[in-house]
Amino acid sequence: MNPRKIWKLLHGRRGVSAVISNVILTGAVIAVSFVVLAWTQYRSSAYNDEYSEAMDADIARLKERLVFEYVFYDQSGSTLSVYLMNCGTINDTTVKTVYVTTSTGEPIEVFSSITLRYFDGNEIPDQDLDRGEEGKIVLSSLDGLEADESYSVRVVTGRGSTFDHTFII
Amino acid sequence: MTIRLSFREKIRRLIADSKGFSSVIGTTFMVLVMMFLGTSVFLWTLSQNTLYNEAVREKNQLEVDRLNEIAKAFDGKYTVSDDGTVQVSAELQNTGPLSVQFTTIWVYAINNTWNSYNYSTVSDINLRPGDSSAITTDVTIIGSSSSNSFSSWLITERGNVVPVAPAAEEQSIQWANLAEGIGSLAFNFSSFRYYEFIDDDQLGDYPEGNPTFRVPHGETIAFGFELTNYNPLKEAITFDEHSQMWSYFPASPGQANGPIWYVANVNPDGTIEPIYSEIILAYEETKLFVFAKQGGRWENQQQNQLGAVNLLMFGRFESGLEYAQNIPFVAIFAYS
Repeated sequence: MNPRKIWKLLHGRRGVSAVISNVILTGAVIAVSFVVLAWTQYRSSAYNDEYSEAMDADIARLKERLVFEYVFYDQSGSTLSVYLMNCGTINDTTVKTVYVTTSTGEPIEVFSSITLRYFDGNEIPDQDLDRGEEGKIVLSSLDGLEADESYSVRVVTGRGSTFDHTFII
Repeated sequence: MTIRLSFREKIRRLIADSKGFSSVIGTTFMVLVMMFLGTSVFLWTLSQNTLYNEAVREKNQLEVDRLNEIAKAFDGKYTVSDDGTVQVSAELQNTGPLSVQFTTIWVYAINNTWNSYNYSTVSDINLRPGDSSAITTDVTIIGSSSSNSFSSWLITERGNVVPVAPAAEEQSIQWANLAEGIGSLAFNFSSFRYYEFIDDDQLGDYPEGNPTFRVPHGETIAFGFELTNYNPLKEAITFDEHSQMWSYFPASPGQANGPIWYVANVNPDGTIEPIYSEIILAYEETKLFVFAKQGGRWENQQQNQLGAVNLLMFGRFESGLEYAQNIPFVAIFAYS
């Protein structure tokens, strides 16, 4: 560049304010852009987390499967023994709630404090059923079930899956 | 006046004029950044959906496998020991296209007033498609007896329940056995024997005795043979002291009756208990019955004659119902 032009650029006063305002405006726009970018990234990250969490929960729930090996009602002791096996493809299946209803769906009793036991009666230490593991639930103080009547038991797992079984006393 | 520019002139001016160029670059960058962010989120969401779809596909496959798991358990037989051990035997067959692994067998026992159940873990029973196998396993059900009705089922590793069908020929076998007797008891002809007394209250050569239908006329003797309870109701039978066997000789003049022998309890050394205590015969149980308390007398005209022997059994079933039966069962030749 011509040295004369450089000298004029450095010492000339005309247009300085326009340059400064442009610099400030540009800086402000860039700053706002970064803020918007960061916010967008934060929101998309939060969305990712929520979506991922929901998807993982759905997938885990899909993999859960409990089968009822046997359900026995002891009339003398008013206890219902429910024998389960985890034949799904995921470990750590817990039992959150058990509903006992009539065959028409009228509720009889809801059990939310569940203790999982091995078939031999010993308590399962981690209170969950891993893949292929068997366990039983004993529901006590279940009065009023009559012989030759049909009833349903619904097991709700900690992940939210439900499994139903109908039995006749 | 409008001057129309050629396309080449327009391009030249656009390139040469630097005014607003930074805006174009800024916009381009912004669009690129937004596209990058949007694409990232879209692809990530797509990957999550793929994971979910894979899980759904896996679950569907499991359900299809579970539905295609077809196994049969048949010819189920139950044998009960005195300690309540129920031995279950059955034939297993995999009739489906998938291999089957059995994990647990459940047995349920019931009679009119009582029911109970238990399970047993089964291992090493894996059937390939088309394979067959036999299973024999013990399940302890305290309080069970042979008079109970039993049902059982197997659980597979996929969670299917395979009921064990009872032996189809069980009934026909029962009736075939009953052809040897009538009603609830079956009599084993080959087990028939008579005993001689070596003392007033002791049988000689007990329990083997003399396995023959030829008996000495005029002697005080006893008889022994095996009876099996095939009561169709599967109840035990209790026999009281009136149970007896009696003989008559149709070919002898006057068709005189021969001696009568009452049921007795005999100790392993052959001594006869003076007071009879009731004998219980459980369902499908076989016991040696001894008729040792001889009454009546031999008549002279019965010498070297063939006599008929009837078995008169009296008692009650497990349910409390009375039981009484007359079995015309063997012939004896009274030699002298």
